[in-house]
Amino acid sequence: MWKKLTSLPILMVAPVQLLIWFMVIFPTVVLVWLAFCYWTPQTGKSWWHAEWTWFSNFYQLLFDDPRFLWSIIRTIIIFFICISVELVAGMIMALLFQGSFFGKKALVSILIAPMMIIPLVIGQSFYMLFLAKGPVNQVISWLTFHKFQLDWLSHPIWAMAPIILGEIWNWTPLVFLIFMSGLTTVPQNQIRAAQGLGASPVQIFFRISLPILKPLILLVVVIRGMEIFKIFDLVYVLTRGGPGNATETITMYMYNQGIEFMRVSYVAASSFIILALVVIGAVRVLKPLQYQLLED
Amino acid sequence: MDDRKKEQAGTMKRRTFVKGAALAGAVAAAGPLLPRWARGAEKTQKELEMEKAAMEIGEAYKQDPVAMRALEAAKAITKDKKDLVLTIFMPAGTVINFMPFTKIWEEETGCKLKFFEVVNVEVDQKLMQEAVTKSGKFDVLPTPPLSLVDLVDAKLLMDIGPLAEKLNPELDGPNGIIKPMDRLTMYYQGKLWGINTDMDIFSLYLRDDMLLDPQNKEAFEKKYGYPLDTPQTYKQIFDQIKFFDKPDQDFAGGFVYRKRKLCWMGWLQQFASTGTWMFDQDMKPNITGDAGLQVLEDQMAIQPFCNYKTQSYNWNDIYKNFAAGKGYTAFGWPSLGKYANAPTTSQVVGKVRSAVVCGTEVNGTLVRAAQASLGRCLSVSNYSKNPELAYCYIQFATAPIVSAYAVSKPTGLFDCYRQSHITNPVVEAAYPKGFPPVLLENMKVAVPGFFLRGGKEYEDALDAQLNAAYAGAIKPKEALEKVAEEWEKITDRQGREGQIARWKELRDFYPDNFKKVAG
Repeated sequence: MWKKLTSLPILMVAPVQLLIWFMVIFPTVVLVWLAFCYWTPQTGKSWWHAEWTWFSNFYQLLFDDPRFLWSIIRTIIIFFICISVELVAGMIMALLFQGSFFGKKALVSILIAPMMIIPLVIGQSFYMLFLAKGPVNQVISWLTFHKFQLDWLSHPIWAMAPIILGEIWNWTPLVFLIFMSGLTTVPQNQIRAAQGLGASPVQIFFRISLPILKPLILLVVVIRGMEIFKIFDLVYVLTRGGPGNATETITMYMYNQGIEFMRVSYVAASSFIILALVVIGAVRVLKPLQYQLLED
Repeated sequence: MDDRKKEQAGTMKRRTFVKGAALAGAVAAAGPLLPRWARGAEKTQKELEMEKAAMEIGEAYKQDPVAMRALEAAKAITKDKKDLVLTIFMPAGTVINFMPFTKIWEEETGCKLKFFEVVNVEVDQKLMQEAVTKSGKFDVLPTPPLSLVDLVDAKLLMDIGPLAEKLNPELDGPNGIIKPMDRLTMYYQGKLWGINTDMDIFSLYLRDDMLLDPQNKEAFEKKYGYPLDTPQTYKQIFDQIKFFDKPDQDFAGGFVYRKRKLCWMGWLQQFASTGTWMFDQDMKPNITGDAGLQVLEDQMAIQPFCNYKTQSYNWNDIYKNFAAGKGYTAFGWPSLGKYANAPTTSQVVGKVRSAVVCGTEVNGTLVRAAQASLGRCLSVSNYSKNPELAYCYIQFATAPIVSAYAVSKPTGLFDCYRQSHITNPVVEAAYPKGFPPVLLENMKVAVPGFFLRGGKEYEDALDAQLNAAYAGAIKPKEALEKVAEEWEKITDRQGREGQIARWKELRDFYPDNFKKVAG
């Protein structure tokens, strides 16, 4: 009887467990295996017959592949620029939309529209905008009264600009939306008390609203950070990582190595390095919230 | 009054109207999903195009013994089978080449053809993914010579030698595949892995009307001290590019490939014309010397006179702009000539001169080198469920007369690859005047690309650094040194001994003048 009782729950849970095995655990185990092997389809062997090479892939990535390290640095640069602009712009927009005014709903709908557009489409639009004979150069020519023809997408430094601008344009609305809802949670009695004591709006923002919004800001940094580390569509459409490898981000690097050159095991190893980096970064950013989250 | 009474009285309630409208909308939306008989017998655009193309070829295929042998063999296979479908994997822009005979094949054999198109840059990845997944989703594959070695090693391709021996696709002889590159595009380790369906080799295209203009001739000779004519050397073509560049009229002196993934072609072609091997006999890179550096500096110096000074032109931008009469010259594949010669796509019909690629004079010998890294052959997938039928289709599609109609499609990207195409009037009409003999001359000076294991990696390593140098991100010398360093790593990773052996084979295919100079 007891046996029957214990086996029934196991049977009921088993399908889900098996599904998890196949959907999550199995690919992860394969990835770990490959990370420590040398395997490409060109070897003609199945992946489970791959040659075990211990930490060779990791060593090569960290000490003998500047292209990999540069792709990480570039991604981190994009992260810092994007996150800074998005936080500031999102916050300013959210502050401007506090309170009610005529046409607020329509304006909010328009402002959040970019985040609903597929990044690939944004990439195509920005590609056309930033062509050497495109509208951006035309506008700059009008403003500066002389013919301006910068080949943005092939410039070793400025090629990054359309990518960063596209990313900011795409995702600032999300930050705006989060901050706008966050600002509604700031207790009004504290603000009224501060106003009664003669505090200026700037003082109220920095002394009351911002500290209350701090956990939200950190969450935005983590969520957007994870997304920026995955940036691919814009880079692929706009520059393909060029000129040279000047705009090659970590995902573009992994795409080139894993999909173009089929260095599957090498990319498996690189994915673990990136995973470690992202986890360390996220934990570090969320550390101030540790006690608050635990208390909650 | 209830709804029924209202309707009977000729009025309609809002809810009833909405229901009716929704039903009508659903029927209209589902229209394309309905079977043909339910929609009426109208034909799709594709079907109409196929019919038109089939009319062009007419009964001509019956004069083609290679095609007929393939059809007979296919009929024997399909005789007792129903609903057979072959899936043909093709790069986008090439299915149009197969239009003329798709209907013929389907009617003769009863086997349907399903084309699966992928953009050109993703074809190799998809092929390799198929090698990993072994799905058997495709029967016929478009194998690029650059990846032939890798695809054979990955066991994706079937050795079609025995079938070819049985059905004789006439790969040699007067109808055979143009020599000598056929040995590299279809064969590896002594086995036959596919039949050419496209042979991409660079030719030089010039604006004939501008070359013949007496005013241009006079002004050019006055400026450069020698007559204006078809350029023989790189110095001459660069002079002409500078001479014809008119930035105030948005007219480019020339078009060069500077976009990422395309940069390597122009440099590699000119570098080969210096009579310098890419690698020495031990696969040590040879590109960092004076020859490599000089070529890179030349290519950088000509850039301001090309492409309206932008680097982001893709190959199709070059096709469009050259055919629109917005530039004087371009190196390009045969399809560029075809594109510039088609009234539907070009404004310079009859104004294009094709020529043998330029060369470099080395110790009194003019060394020409035509870049021949691309092209495709049709292969049978090792995982095909109908490999023999797939082979029959390949033989039929590449048969001498049938394929002449295929390569002559003006907007199709596949080009001449059989000796018989050169003299075929259908093909001749599709290309600029005098092109077929030029193509043969270019074939004689063709230099193989990175037909090595990991060929794409070698190519990309070169392309990335050249692209950076063209953009001014890195100094030429440093760029070439980085390429050499990267090539060394790739060679070690792919196995130096195997690469040395393959490189030894490739060296035999370099043109005679090159070998005379390089030793």
